[in-house]
Amino acid sequence: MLKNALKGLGLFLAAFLLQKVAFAAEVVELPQEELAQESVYPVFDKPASVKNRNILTTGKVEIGGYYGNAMTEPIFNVSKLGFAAYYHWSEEHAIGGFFESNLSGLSKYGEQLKSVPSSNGSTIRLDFTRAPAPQSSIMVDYNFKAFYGKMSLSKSIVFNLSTFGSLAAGLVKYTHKAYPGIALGLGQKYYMTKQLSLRVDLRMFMHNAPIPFFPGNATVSLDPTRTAPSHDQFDERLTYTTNLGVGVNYMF
Amino acid sequence: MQKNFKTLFIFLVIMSPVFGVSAFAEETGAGDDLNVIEMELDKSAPRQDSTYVPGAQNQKIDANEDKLEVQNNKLSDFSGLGRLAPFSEISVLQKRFLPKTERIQFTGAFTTITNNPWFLTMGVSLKAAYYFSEALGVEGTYTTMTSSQRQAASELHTNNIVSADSFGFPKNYLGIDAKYTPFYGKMTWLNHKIVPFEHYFTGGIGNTSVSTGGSGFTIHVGTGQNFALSKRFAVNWDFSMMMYSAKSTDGTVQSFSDLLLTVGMSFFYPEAKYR
Repeated sequence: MLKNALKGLGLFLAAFLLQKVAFAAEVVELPQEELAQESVYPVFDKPASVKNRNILTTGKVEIGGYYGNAMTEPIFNVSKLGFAAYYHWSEEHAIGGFFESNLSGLSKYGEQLKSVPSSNGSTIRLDFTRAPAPQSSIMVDYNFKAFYGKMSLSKSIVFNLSTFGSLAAGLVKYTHKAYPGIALGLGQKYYMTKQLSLRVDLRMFMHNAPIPFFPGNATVSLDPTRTAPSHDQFDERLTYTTNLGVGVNYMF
Repeated sequence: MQKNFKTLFIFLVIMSPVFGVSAFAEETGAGDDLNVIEMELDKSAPRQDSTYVPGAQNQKIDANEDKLEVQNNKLSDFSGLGRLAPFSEISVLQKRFLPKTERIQFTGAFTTITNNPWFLTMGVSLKAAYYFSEALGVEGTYTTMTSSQRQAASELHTNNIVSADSFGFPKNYLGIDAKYTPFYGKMTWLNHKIVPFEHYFTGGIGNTSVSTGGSGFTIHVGTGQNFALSKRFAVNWDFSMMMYSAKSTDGTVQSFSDLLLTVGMSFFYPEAKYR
């Protein structure tokens, strides 16, 4: 019995000794350049990037005024003043409209062409105030607000912004008649506060319009010394005009 | 029985040094673990001395305690407080996704003049920018353009026998700008994907060659945004104005102001330095 007890004790001591060797800790040192230098984000199904928007637009109305510039208008005054109103039925979609009024007068090119040397050396006088000029536009406008984000000016000043596409359809009125037209554009809104934002729009207007470059004939001409043509004598064609608008909007 | 006790006694005598070595391995293994942790916390710490000092290892619980006089168990040396990081280095914003400091940005882009009613002018812009910091950099730009007459110019010539060539258009621009990036932000695409971006302003000088044959000193101002695709690539748009004077076809000096819209892609070199 004592012999068995001693055998058991011996086995116990051997097992105790061996387990220290079997589970001895090792320190593994890796070179610094092999360690991870940056973290990666796990990929989730259907990630929601924005948990709580600071600027909520759903169900809100937005009104604003803006200054527009018809950058590719050759003859008439390129400046416009406009008013717009929108209703946001979701965070991504808004519907509304705008009305803009063209300022009267000619562009710098229209002023230059009042007296200009022609291709054959003579002096040409062209008075484009005799041509039908754009007066105003009124359109229904749809905005698709695909991008929403925030921007930091400094470590303590952060403001939100929204980038959107726009599609508008309506009428462009000239001196003698109105033409249907559409406008396709991109814009950004910078929110100074939750209600007040600065809006920038770049649009391409496409509509029929009278051609101001009346060729003239024996009886009527753009020459100020001769009889002016009537507005319906001017030919028409599809016209593309790039417009840049900058304005302020208020949302409530 | 006496023989068995003798056997057991001899066994214990032989095994006792082995027990001592294994205990040493365990304690130094635990001490090495603590030292590795401390080295990871304090990367400037020297490599662990393999000399075993009985009793000292158990006192090194936290890496910060290395900076104090643990042996004497009292805080008498506060000189380390003068080497703390100043509060100006503390930022509440996440680090930028696309760091730019001490990197070069190469940009290739398509450009078009948006405010010329007589000519449809388009071209290519090549830019190289170097950033001294995240906010400040310097950028060189070369733009070459070609143009075709718009319908208005054709009709002016056909109907009124006036050539629009006298109005002129730019052919080449070479200039250098200071670049200021005060805004950094993030945007989501339909709440699914986050796109980091930056908004910058540029201002500089250059020289523009005009189709009328002249060239002129140019003032160039602009604004734009960089959208980061990765740590190296970005998509950007730029809206800038070139203001210059040049001789027209009749010899008179004309003032020009062209609005350029530029859309392109950028590549950053070298690899970013991460925090």
